[in-house]
Amino acid sequence: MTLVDSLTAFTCKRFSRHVASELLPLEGGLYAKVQFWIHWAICPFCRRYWKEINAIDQLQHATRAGRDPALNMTDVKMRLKKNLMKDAS
Amino acid sequence: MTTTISPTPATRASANDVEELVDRYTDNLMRAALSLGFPEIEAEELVQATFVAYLEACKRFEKRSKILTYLFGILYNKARETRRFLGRHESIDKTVEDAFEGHFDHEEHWDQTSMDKMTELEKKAQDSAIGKLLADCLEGLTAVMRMAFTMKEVEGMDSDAICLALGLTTSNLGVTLFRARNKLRECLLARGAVIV
Repeated sequence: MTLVDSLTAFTCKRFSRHVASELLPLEGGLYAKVQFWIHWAICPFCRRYWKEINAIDQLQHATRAGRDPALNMTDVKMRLKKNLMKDAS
Repeated sequence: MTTTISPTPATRASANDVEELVDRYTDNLMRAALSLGFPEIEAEELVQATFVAYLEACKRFEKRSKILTYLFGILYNKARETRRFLGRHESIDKTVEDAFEGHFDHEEHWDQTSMDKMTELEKKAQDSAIGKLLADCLEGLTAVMRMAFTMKEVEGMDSDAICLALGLTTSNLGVTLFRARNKLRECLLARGAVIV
């Protein structure tokens, strides 16, 4: 296997599992990191997948944030306090 | 924020403790309960049950974590006990793994079908429409997936706190997030949403 083959041996499956897991360290140390970024540079489909995963994260954040103002939190808090005080007494 | 609500000598909390607890943590807990898919009334009941459990058990709170993390742990366990999430576990995990594996050829690169799907002409959708689709797709996740995803992406909590609240190892959390994201991606793509 040539050096170029070795550097480009990182697979799409490994790449996508790593970006969606996010917290798990990449096995293989610095060399694996280099392979990872080379793969990112040469594979448009993996770049696209990564973008999609990021977009899903952002969408969840925006959707959740967008829904909250509809709730009257002041009323919710008042009811909770009343019920909890009643339970405690 | 690390200040704690001081427990009273008996297991009962004072009115001030209750007020402070509710004022400080209701927003976070309601967001989490709604993210788990409970309608507003049930979400409020879940939050109330969480506070009741905390007030009953606050003497046992060992301050190894922030109160919010502890409260998220209680809320998650209470949510899991509800009919909504009972029996929704292994089958989903297997489906996600199978769908993920199905995208790659024998050399572990994207197969032709997956590449074709990614290069389709983009159909732009309104944010609100995608938001509705996302809400529908979230219905297919397990409690732990939704809770982990919410704590990470909406509350912005660090992974140690999430692991502590949900009783997961870092490795389990990584796998859980991986499955949640891929399940959502599969679902959104199946419904024709373009998410980039």
